[in-house]
Amino acid sequence: MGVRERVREFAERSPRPFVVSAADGTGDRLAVEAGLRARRWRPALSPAETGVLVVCGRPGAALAEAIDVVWSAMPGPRARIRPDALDEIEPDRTRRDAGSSDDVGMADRADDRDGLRLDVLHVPLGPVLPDWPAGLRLDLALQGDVVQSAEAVMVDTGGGSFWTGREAARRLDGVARLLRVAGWDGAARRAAVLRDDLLDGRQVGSRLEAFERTIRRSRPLRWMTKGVGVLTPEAAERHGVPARYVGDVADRLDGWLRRIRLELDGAGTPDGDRDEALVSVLPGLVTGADLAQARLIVASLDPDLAVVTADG
Amino acid sequence: MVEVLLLGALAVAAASLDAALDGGPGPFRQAARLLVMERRMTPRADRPLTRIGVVSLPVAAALAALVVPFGGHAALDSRVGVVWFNAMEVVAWGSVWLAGWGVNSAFALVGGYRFIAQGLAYELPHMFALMTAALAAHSLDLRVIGAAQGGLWFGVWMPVAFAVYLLSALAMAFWGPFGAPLGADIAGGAALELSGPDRLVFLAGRYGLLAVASAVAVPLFLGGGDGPLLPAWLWSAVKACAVLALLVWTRRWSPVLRMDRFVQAAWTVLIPAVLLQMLVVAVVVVD
Amino acid sequence: MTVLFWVLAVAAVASGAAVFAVGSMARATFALLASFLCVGGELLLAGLHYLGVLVVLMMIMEMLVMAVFMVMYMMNPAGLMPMSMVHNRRGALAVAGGTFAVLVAGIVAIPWPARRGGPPHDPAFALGQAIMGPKMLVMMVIGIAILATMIATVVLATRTGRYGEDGAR
Repeated sequence: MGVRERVREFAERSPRPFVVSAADGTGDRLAVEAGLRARRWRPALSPAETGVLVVCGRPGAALAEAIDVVWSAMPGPRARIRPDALDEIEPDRTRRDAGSSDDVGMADRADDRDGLRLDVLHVPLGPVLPDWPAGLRLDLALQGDVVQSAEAVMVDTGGGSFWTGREAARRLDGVARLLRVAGWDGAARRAAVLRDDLLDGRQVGSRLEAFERTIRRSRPLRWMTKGVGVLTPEAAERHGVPARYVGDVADRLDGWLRRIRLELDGAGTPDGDRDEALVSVLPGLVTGADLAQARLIVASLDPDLAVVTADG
Repeated sequence: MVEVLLLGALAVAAASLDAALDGGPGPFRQAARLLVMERRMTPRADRPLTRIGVVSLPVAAALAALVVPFGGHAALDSRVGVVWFNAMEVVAWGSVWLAGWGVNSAFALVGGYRFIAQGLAYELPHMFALMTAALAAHSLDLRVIGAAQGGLWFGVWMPVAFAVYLLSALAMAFWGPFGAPLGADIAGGAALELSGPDRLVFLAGRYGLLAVASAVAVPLFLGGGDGPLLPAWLWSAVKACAVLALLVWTRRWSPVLRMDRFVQAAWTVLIPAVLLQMLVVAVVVVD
Repeated sequence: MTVLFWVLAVAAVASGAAVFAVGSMARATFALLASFLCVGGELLLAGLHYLGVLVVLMMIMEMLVMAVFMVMYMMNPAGLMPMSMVHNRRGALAVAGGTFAVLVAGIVAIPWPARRGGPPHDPAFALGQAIMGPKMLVMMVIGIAILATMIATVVLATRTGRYGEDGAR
């Protein structure tokens, strides 16, 4: 018994929480991210990796249901905690019967782009997914990993934006999440630190410049984002999306970096983002892209569902 | 057998270095966490195939380690070490695909398939890079290749082959810029549903592969145990550590490369480049 | 040595038979792979290290590429529903039985030559000489030509094909 207990204790000193955020949970999420960094813990990418679940904000009924499904499938010892309780993780060590939901993936067939009749798999992206806009779900029809059609559903909305008056920090958060989706953790962490310093009112000047240089000089990043998710001016106008979102993922990332600079120089002009319009433009953009590109496209639009009110 | 244990220690060192660079908890803490965790399986998973996939990854790394020489000595006396290493590294294709396929989860399946696509992109340039070194030494025996380099290391006068080898070493261990099979965009990809001990074994196998791939670069391109003062096996170990540190470090330099773009570069740039390198080497050694 | 030979031989046949008994394409693929790996093991036992390892290497790659295509075109991705691996049972049995009979007849009927000389110092080298010998240059040129053709075909096909004009311009 002794050894097992000791191993358990050793392990519990660095848990790996899986963080889920409701639409109004942005403030909580940032606090959790900073808390994890301060403790030298890492967040989990998937619920199977861990038994610790952190729920940020107040999820509405639909999102709460999705979180419950994830929670019931997590491996023990499990603990479900509030964002401010990182130091009070009390794992429940009772063994459970694994839920035996016989949920079979749905496969049917449809014509693909070359007119071949291939299998279609219906897969939802979100709402419980790391580095994903809180409260958003994209219902995808996949052939292989290519999106054949998509539908955007706002699962959780409202609560008011955390970002009002914090435009530069919001964009840095967007950059951090986009970089994580692109698989560049190191740069994403720098962006997150800059974001938190900015929110705390610390000086970021030269560090921000260095970060910006790293991102702009990265040829692999450009190679992987150029030509992905091209939004035409016509489509932008049709959906009521501001013109600065026109272009591909690389253009939008570039736009964010420029905007952060403008904001910090005090030259930014507050222009209300049309976050609902950003959601409505998503299905068209991700159709025909593969899963990895679809994630980049969503991250490059980064809609904030907290500003969307229930009645639309 | 000492060589295999040494490579195991190198794998742990790689995990430690990555944790240190990452500012996260070290590998022993991670291992303890995964060991006390429940082992969970998704509904309707193909358990036997998943297990085979998970376990075969470290097994492949260990089998590959058998032919890796430190100094002039390897655990297994094989005249075809290069081909053996190549074969064991390809076992990882099966491991990742099985782990991704067996758990019956869409993102995991995508992760498994990503590694096959990656394999098709990196394997041809990789094989030509291996052949280039073997051609220059007139042997498929890693010990002979290591000893054949005299004063001038192969890495110096066949830089293209060496660079391609380093790229493919990253790709075969699906590490850093080639980490798409376990990508963050698909919530961990092929490893998405692996929990507890399964996950530990799988990730350990990946570090093992990375360590072996680094250590094989030493006899192929870095003169094997060649070096002043220190004994040959120690030189081999030092060089392997250097290559391993470089490979681990790449994770911080670059985003993940997607195969829908990289495969074109691999086939239209890397293959012709390494073929030209091979032609140059062939002309030099025949002369 | 003999024990190992028989273990591998029985395992090769058994996993070959398993291909038709299992209920999913993935299991069938990997049963077939197991069978090939056993054959590779037999070659290693016979001292043909290069050929044995090559069989292991090539078969793993082939089976995985096959798995990709098979699962891609079939109606059950991830083998969600069990399916039979057998089609046209009677015809297949006749063809398989006939082939087996012919092969066995060949083994029994051929007057096998007695062994002359010992195994070569380097079987891999001897194998290359035996297969290609004086035609080495021609073989190399053809090899490169086939590779170049393959790559060119794929590159041309993707340009305007499935993935269209990719953004990597």
